[in-house]
Amino acid sequence: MIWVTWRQQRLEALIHGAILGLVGAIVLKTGLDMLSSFRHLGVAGCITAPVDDQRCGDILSVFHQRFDPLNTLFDAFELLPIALALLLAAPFVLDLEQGTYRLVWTQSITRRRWLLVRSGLLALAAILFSLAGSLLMTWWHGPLDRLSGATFADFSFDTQGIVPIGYTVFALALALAFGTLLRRAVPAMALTVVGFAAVRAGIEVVARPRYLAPIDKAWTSGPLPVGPHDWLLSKGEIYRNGLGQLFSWDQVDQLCGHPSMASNLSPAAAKDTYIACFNHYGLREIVRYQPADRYWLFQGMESVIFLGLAAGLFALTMWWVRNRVM
Amino acid sequence: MSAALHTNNLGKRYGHSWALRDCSLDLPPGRIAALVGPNGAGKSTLLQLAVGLATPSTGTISVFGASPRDQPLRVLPRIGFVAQDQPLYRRFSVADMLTLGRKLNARWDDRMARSRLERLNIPLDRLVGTLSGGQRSQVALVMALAKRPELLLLDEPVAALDPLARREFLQTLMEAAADGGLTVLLSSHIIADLERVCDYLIILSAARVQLAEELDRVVDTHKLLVGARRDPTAIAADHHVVQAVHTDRQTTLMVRTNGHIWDPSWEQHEVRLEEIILAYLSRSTASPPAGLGDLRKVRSL
Repeated sequence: MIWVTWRQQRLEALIHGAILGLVGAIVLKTGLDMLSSFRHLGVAGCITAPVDDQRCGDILSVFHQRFDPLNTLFDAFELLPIALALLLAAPFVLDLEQGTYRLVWTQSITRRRWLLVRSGLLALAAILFSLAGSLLMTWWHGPLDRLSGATFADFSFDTQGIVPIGYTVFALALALAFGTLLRRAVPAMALTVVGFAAVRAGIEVVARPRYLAPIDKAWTSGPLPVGPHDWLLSKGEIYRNGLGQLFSWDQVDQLCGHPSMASNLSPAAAKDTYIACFNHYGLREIVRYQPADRYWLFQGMESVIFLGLAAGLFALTMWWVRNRVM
Repeated sequence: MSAALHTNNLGKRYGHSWALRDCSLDLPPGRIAALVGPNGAGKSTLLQLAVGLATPSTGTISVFGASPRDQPLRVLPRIGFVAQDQPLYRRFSVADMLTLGRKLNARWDDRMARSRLERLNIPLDRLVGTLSGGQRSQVALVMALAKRPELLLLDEPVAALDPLARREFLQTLMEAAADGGLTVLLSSHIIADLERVCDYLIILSAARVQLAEELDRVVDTHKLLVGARRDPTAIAADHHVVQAVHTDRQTTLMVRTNGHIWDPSWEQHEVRLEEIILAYLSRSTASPPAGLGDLRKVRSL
């Protein structure tokens, strides 16, 4: 069965290997360029330089001008999981659509073994390819992350570390499940794309900021009380009074009245009243964030969620293959 | 259990319509059985149930005493199956197909497969997709035979072939059957082929088994009776009337006899297999068995 799977996928596997090799070479080349620029321009010495350091400002702007466009381009690695999954799943779904699976099902092996070996090998390929992509991206972003420390930012979190593996395995399981249920390649692939995008976006927006309770810090003025690697969730949207009670922006306006609505006062007087109200209640603006040291914990939690979903989908596929197909 | 294939009240429903119903059948081992019926009569369904591709909705099916669906490893190694559209991987070479067979079957006769393909002039390095329809059918048959099956199931394997390719295909089949130890169930529309190859006949029509008997006996026991117009009730008491056709003055009956017909007012004729089969198939639309009930409803074809 291992040989049969390889023989069925080998053309696709070689094409994907070639494409990924090419992309990998480009990432490698530009990554090496960036490292050498980083060294020659002396960027490292400017990371902690004050904002008004003229020489460092020039160096940093040269460096950013050269590599920010590439950084944006490589955000496309966000699409790697779904692309890998569709390419890997396509021969499997076509096998079902064209009815050729019946050839294997009428040899001397069970459907269970057929599905286990086939999807197992596909999952292995998905893991290896996505791991390669993630390692490349993690390495490539090294110098940029030292500068801006954006590892927790959307694209950086999604294309580095271990989550790309979870995404890819999940997308693959989704494609195999839809392919088995529908046995039509085009609708199955379309639904996979839609379903993957919905789940990914849903978990990123709804679940990820809440994996652990965020940390709130009071802030009045000056630099934000968060480090460059922390993940800032909100600022200026929540307020806290002296008793530790939280207020939304609207509630604060109800409490103190917005200065622009106080029409019977001069603007300066309205502002004074407003600030007096703030001080009276002890209101402080809250900066809400996830600290940088939770990065790997969050990566792990998100991976577990996607691998769990993939396992559920695989169980459904197995049940369907054993009980429902014909 | 002695039967190669045994079914009891077997039924398969797809949605609301029955593809096969109340099918009770015993296929004795060693037979080369023809499975005949109009399109949609349930032939493919029966074969798919036998190989475990489909699950019965009602009743049971067993192959050499085991359930194809629940005990696949007791059934699959003993069955060779050639599906209607002969699913083969088009991007595989013929040699790759043999490798697939070798890898997926504990019992696999690679030497036999290679020598058969060589005799058929099918090169091993050709891609399956570039073979002619006849060659593809041959590859599918050789794949099925290389499992050294005890039961070979063929679903209209020659339907799409030209006469020469059909002949070659049946030749391969007959050679294999002559080697012994093989039971064959072959569905086809081409009655002349079946007559040449088969020794057992199963007629499936309107999702039900109409007849299952040795081919020689089928031809011996069926008679065409011609006589003055009358109600066939009397003869139906002793014999089975398959089809009744009435003109103004004459009644023609296709009868499956139970022993000799003594009534001298009937003129008896031998019938050819094709006529017998057509008579059974034409009954498929008349719901009560023909010869009984309202005769005016029985129309001639």
